[in-house]
Amino acid sequence: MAEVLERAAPAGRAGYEAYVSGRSGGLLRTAYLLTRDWALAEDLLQTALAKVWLVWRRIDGDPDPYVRAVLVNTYSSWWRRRWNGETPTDEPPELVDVDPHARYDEREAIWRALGRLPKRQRAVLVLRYFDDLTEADVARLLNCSVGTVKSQASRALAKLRIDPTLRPEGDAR
Amino acid sequence: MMPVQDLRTVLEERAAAAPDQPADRLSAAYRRAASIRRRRRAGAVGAAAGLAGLVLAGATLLSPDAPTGPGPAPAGSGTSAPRPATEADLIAAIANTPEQLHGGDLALRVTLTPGSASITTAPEPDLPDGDYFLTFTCTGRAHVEAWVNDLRLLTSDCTGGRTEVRWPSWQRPAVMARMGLRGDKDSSFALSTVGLRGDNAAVLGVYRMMPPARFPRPQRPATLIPPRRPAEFGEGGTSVGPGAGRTESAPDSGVSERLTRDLRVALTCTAPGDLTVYADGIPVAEHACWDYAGSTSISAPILTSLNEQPGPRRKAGDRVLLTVRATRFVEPETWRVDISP
Repeated sequence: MAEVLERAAPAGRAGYEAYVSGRSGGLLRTAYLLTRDWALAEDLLQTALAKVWLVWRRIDGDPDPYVRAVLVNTYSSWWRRRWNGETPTDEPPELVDVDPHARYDEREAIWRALGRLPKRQRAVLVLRYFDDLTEADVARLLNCSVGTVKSQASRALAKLRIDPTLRPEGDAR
Repeated sequence: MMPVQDLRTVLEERAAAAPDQPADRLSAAYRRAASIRRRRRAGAVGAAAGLAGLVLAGATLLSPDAPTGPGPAPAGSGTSAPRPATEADLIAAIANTPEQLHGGDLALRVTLTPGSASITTAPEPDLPDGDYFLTFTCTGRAHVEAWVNDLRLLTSDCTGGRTEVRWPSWQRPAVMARMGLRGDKDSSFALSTVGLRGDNAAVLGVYRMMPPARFPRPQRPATLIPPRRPAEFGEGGTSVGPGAGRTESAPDSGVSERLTRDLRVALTCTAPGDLTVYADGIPVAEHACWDYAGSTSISAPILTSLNEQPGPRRKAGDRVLLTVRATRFVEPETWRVDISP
């Protein structure tokens, strides 16, 4: 009981503002890892916080899982930008043949490969490996089964491993 | 093989560069919540009252052989009137129209639902003259045409996504005058949809370009992405990048190319900056970057762009001198221009 009381959402506007003040920095980082763009991340976070404020009084217990769920589900419902004449694209064009003289940073490659994952898979990786949520927590948050989370994470990691821009170990280029 | 630890490291490194928390995040959340409330009321009440007249008035247009154009178009079987977009649709569409985007400040956001054939806004005192671009976001699947003040802005298969509609500098004055978005008069926004399921929502965002210096500069990542040749251009062809001797005010000495009907250029940047390509001194392609994510624009055929503008008419086979002007860049080696083979 004591634990529930400690984790319960503080009621009212003051509680909400305290929550935003204390947690929005961390949520912004999660939003950024999902969107890969600080402006979009801020936009996503503000949208999620607005939705949360509308139901704040009805949140029972720790608000974090609910807020995270709103954040991720809002992100999942956003649509990819499409080409339209000279509309900027999300990603720089892919390199067919890596310039052997280029200094290619593997972490940069992982980051870019993450951006090519489907939104759901990217969300699973961010929640599992950045927010350190358990598979059960991620499943509750995404409203799916633990098996689905496992398979999504597994597929996402597999895609990263075979991504052509990520050099396999031992590749002596 | 990429170990999970590498992935953790990358995620933590990237997230660590979070900008300072802006003071207005809370007020922005309240503002958006109020907006959601308003739209919720509009969905529940407005759709049943204010927009019902439009739906009824356009009922004859809902027959299967109704003409297309601004206004409700045939919906599926043509037997049922479209219902208003769900709140979730509206929220998703509105969220994809942020307050600031790609050098622009949101001046007007117009939400359209299938039941509303068109919306006429009251005069917008905060809508000054200036350079605008528009975004169009929809949920659901439909063929969509969007109009502003009787100017057709786009025809698009709406499968989701934010479509940005910008005009190059040589078309902009005429388009702005034609569009007639002004603070002292009403403007009408119309949406025509075909194949609509009924639970669609669409949002038009009108953005006014800000002075570049005022647009928030994004956090610089530790590592910059090198710009690369677009896969669409395949192998071969000429590329131009920041080279010795080129300055912001002095374009490069130029690349001579023979015009074909499909000669295009791809402008790529991976840091904030503006790129313009000129053919014999006439602008034919533009692209701007506002962040470090990296983006590419592939131009319309250069021949077409040249012949849209005053000057001698060009034809395939003519030679032109292509030059590049790069401005606002402060990072080295973060742009390139590729010429199609």
